[in-house]
Amino acid sequence: MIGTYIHHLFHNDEWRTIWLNHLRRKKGLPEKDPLYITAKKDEQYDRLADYIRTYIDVDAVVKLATEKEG
Amino acid sequence: MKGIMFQGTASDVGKSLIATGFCRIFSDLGYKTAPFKSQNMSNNSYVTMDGKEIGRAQGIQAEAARTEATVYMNPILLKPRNDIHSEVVLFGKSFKTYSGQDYRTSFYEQGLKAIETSLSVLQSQYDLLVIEGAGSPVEVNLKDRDLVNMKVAEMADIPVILVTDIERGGVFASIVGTLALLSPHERKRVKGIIINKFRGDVALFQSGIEWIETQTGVKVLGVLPYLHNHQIDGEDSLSIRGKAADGLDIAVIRLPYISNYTDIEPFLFEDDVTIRWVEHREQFGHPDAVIIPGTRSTIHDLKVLKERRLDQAIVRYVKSGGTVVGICGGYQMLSEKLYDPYGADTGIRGYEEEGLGLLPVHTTFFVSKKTVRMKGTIHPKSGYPMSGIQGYEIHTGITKKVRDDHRCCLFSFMKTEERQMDGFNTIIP
Repeated sequence: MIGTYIHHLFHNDEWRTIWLNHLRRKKGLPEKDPLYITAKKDEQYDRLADYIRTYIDVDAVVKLATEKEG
Repeated sequence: MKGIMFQGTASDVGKSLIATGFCRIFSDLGYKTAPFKSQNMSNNSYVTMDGKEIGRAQGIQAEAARTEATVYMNPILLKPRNDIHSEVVLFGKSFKTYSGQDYRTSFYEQGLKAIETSLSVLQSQYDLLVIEGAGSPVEVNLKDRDLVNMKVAEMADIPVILVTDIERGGVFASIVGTLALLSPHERKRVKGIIINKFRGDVALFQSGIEWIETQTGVKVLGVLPYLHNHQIDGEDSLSIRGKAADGLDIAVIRLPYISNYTDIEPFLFEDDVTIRWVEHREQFGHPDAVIIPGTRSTIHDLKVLKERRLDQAIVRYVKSGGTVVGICGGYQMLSEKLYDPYGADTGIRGYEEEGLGLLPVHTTFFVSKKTVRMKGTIHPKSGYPMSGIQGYEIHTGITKKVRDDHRCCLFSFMKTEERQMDGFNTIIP
């Protein structure tokens, strides 16, 4: 049992994997290698951007954002 | 300055997510991009590198823009304490607690100044701003004290895209109505419309687009289909997806004033982990681990836990060998006793409450709040392998061990800029 003031404790990929593998062992599940969520998140931002590019006239938005009109 | 502002016809139309996407798009194009939202109302904050609090969404958007989040990206953060009062966080630090009425009458000028300062700092450091409004820009009863919508667009002098959501119907009325209620010079600033959360075949909506463009003279820049299962967390919600049944089942206790539930976010990326919210005793079940997250009102939420007899379920679970992690407010609840001598947590001076008694520690609440980023390692005595960890603390309480218990060890060594800390994190292996 753990009590801690540290927010984002489980954002530490190595520690999260240690803790989850401890639970996995206890349940007889196979252990896993660490998952690097920063890289995963970055992929998601890319996917979101692609999604917006597909359905929104991004050129028009860029033009609005970068060209000053009166 | 260069930039674009997304305003909505209502709350929750998807401005945040669209702004996040555009932060990445502008960054991809080589613009040094910063997100901005003058004022957020949320208990779910993001902590910057220098230990200050801003709205979660702007923290995420900064990540998407590939930049470091700062307090200037969200200078005002309102954290609801209860139905009437909110804590005002100004430039990342707790400033004052106001009632809604007091806030509108006495904070306005100061708020405007904070926005002005922030915009000028961002302007000096970035090429382009992606700004998000809040709610609707035409709440006519509040408009003269606007700190979040057209006022901000005017201060930054950038165009506005109106985002609307088709999911609940009324899309035409909300677009035309919003534009009609804007003053003529504000309306001139609206250069485009985005329709969000569309389900079905966009081609069938073509006549709708034409109608909007003819009627309003504003171009529809896109119709965005409903986005399913995105893991990027929004402003105030965390969508928990269902996963495989044969993996790990982690129960997260849902407290009424739960805060910082982004602590749970990493588990969403783990394919074999299911996160299950538990509000009532009947939902407890047989989890593989229980997480008690942080809360804005520890003692209040502890009493709710007791009313629902979830306290007994947790104690019994631990005694039968269950794994429990209490973070921040959840940690404080594990104490034997909680003291509130100054009323910092409950508003009642000298208030005391029995904790769950699962750790031999006492928690005392103080008035000043501490927010600090930290780095450290798991303590060798904790029973877990040594591993580097980092995170942040944000709380008013101090938790101390009150007697020797050989089962209770330090959880981690923590180091902050100010001092070497032997972080009082405790574990019973």
